[in-house]
Amino acid sequence: MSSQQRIFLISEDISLIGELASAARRLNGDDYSSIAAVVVGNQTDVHQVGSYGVDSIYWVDQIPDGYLFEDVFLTLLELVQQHKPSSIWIGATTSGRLICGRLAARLDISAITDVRSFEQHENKVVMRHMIFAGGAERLERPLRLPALITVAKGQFAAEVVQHANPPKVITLPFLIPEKRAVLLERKDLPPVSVNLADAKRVICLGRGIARQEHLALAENLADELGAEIACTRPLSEGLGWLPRERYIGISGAYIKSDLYIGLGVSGQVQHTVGITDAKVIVAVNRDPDAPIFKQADYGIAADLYEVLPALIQAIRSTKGA
Amino acid sequence: MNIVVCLKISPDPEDLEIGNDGSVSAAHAEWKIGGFDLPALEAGVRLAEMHGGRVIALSIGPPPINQSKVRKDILSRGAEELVLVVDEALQDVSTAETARVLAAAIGKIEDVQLVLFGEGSADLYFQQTGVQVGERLGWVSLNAVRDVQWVEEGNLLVQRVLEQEIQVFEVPLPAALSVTSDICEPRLASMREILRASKKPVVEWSLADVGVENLSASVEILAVQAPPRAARKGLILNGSVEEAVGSLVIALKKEGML
Repeated sequence: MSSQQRIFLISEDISLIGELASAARRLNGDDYSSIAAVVVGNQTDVHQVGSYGVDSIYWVDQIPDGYLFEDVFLTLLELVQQHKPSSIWIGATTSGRLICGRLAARLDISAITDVRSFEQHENKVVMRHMIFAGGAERLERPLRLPALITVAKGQFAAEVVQHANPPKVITLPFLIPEKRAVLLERKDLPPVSVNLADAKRVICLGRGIARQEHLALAENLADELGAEIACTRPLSEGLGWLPRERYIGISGAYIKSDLYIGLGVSGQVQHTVGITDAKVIVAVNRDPDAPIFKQADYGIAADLYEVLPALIQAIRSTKGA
Repeated sequence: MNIVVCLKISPDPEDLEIGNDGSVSAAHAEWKIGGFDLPALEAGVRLAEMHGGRVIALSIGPPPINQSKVRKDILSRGAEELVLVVDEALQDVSTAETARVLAAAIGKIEDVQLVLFGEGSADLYFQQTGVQVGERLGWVSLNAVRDVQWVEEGNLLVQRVLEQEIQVFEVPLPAALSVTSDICEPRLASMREILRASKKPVVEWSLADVGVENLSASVEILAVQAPPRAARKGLILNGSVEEAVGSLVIALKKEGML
């Protein structure tokens, strides 16, 4: 790659731009000429992005009514065609994925999505990301430029960088897209009831729970342990017994708790990808061949309806002792 | 009017074999329709049932995608026709190549007004293909769509769910929408539908048939490895339920968890 590389960053999430800048610097070392961030927001946002050590900021201060953040796509595409960056880094949010896919299609390139790390592999810089619902990781290298990379929030820490010069701020007009979905209404989602990623202890319910009324049994155990209740996807999306933010798995929450107790969870990879960072895993399942036992520290192959009351009782007497 | 639903047929991630050296093999895995794609098929079928139109399922991939069990599975869930683009060159292609071939195939199907995708494939889950296909077709393209309603000729009312908000749109047709897995619950095929499935048309095209030549790779895949995993104890606690629970409580105390 040439030593004169321009790097572009974009996200609607201002703090994620800082994380993208850190990741881009980590991949490129000193081998780039400038990092430019595309910022949609106010003066404060521009100032914040400036603290992340970018060299220039392309600033769109307002998206017209009825348009989306994603409609900045056309403005971004113009910039890319004009400046020919060597890489474009996009925050892996819902909006970021839409912008990324549209850009990839226009430039006839593939994005390398949800990049977790970079490494040297046979003298090439390659990117590591997850495939098979976390069952495997793939090392990839883009063959056509620009490299299009998405990074999820929390993968790289944003660094505040002391720069000799403040970034150059270039105001950009918002280019009106020719075709679009017309935004009629936007509503805030109700505040989420839990952030499982921060929970210290998690009781997770799977298909082994036969009826919605039985959730109360698990809640007794959760109260005893000060744990949060979580579930596998079918209990949330299929049956609707628990809200979406309580489901653990590939398209749901990833936990880092000290303790995870799976009750009637079979252990499909789409779910277990979300619990690999838990410190201690306990599994209760009637089926001794359930895959969850291979990933557990402690397993009880028995009916959860017998184990639950016994476990609550045993924990209570431990506390009493 | 035709509604195309794109489905990824791939090895089931549950069947992966991990070697002691961290190698990953899908050689013995069963090929299936992706679990995130089934709600898209159901959403397409429901729209067609309510407002007319015909659902055509479309999938591209290497020869293992073309098996009778998979074909029957798709056609018994309400699709009226299945189009497969099958070619050895489609093994392990990245999203740019996939989107290029899908867009070319959609271009060959008559009177397509709507293309639906799942939120991600079961094997890769990059969440890119639907958006890329829409853009390649020059259509309005949205991801994270949780609800689709037919309002009038040529327009849809679409609800999209983001990290912190819900957006409601009027979407002009033609459009390409990637739907979330909770948009609707996929149906179980009835015996009648399973019998009917074998009579429905299956069209098989090659890359040349859809006019795609020189499918050069946009990404080089250097290695596929099992992710590093924390070593687990894998202890099964034996005895009666009371005994097993007793052992568990002792173990959790030792771990400092109680």
